Amino acid sequence: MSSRAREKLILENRLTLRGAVMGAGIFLALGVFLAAGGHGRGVKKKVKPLDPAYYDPTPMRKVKKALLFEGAACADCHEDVNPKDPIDLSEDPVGKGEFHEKVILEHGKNHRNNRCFNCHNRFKPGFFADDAGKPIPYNEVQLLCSKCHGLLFQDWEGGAHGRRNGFWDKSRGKQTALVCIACHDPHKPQFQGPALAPGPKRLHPEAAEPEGHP
Amino acid sequence: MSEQVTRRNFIKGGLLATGVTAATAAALSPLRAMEDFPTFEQFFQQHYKKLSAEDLDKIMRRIEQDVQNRHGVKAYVSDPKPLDGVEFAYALNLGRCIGCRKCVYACMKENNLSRDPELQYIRVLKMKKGSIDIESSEHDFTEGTKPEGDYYFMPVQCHQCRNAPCVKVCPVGATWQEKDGVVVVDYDWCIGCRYCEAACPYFARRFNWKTPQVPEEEINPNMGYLSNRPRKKGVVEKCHFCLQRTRNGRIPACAEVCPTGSRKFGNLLDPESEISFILKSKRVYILKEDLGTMPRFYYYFDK
Repeated sequence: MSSRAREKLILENRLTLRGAVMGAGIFLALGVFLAAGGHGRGVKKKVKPLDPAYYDPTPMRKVKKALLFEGAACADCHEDVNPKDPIDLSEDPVGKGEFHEKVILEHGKNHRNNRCFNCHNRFKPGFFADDAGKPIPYNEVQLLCSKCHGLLFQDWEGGAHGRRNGFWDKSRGKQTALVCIACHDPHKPQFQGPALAPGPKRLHPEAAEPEGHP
Repeated sequence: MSEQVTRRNFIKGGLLATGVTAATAAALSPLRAMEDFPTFEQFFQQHYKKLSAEDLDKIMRRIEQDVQNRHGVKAYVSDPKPLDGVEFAYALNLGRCIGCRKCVYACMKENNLSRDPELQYIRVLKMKKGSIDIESSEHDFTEGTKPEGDYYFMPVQCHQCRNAPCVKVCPVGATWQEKDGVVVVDYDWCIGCRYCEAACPYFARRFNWKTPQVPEEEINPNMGYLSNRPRKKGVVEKCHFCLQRTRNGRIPACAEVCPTGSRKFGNLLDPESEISFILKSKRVYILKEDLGTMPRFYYYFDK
């Protein structure tokens, strides 16, 4: 090998080495740059939980186990009521004192349904009365309401009116239907809904629609 | 000889190296913001329909592990299959809805929807009485939970169309209609092109502009593979009738929470179901019927 060729070889080797070192340096620098980046940035950010009231499935009214007035069963006061000795209609329950005057009866158009015994049983306290005056138990209140609201009752039975919970597939679990008084106060039946939950947030709240935009 | 490392050459070479490094770094800088580098398995994961049962099971266990590592929540991921003889349908009583938006939030809670940025499947529209004109509707109304006066409320969500435009436009087949009628998305196959979002006439699809954020204490651990498992940034999602509930016989979260009972869900093929009763006995309205999308979501009226 001539000395000239040897010199050339040494030079080539040196250049290759220099290139390799430079390349390694570049990759090292990039590695450090990417590793220092914010992988998983924002994952740990604390987000505000939802207000549980917004998704609370509790019905609007609480259905009691039995017909009670201020916690007391009807028969506690109306103890000697029986078919032969019904509640006296001549007495005004409101004028009688601190009992039923708290009941505000606003039922029907122009509050037309204004008689206690249209619904309550005069002969059997704690029960409702059907058209013939026969007792309807408290837990079948829908039969009472169906006396006037027949079409709604049909809808409720078919499933078009009122909420149902649980399972649509009744072979796999129980389905429950809310009764009329789980939503409607029988003395003031217009439905009282929950508070309005807030509307959707804009992705960019600060960006308002430009003026005159159609 | 010029091959000699002179001072000038050394500086030249140094500057060149720095320049190359900086330029490459700038070009790669979007990678710095990337939050989840996929593993090899994730990157080469197959389409949902091509996964074997074992593969799917492995993936679901991996998702459970991910949720555990990331949020410290013990999740249960399952993939309930469509039921035989079941076609889901939904009915909503327009005359009873009071626009309280409880369905919106129950849905967010059940389906682990992002709280920040906020993402909601259901949009409640406050409509002018007398017509069904979405153009003049309001969706950020702040008052009125009673349908009296000159307006009523119409919640809109995915209509699970029989002839779904969103499915037709998807260039990669990441969204399809299941046997029970529900249109689902494979969140791992979606490329985020948002064609489906544009094609949907009901504004039912949502895009994850950022990684969805859900507070740990509010994560619903009961997750379905095609429904409410964690989504990532850059994919589209939509209402799926709460598959993790409904394919196990339960009703969706929005129907469970509605204080007015306006929301009805059931099996269209069962002649005894509530849905069949409503379709037989009520006046039914189909939103944008003229488009021929043939939705499984029906609005109805009492009178």
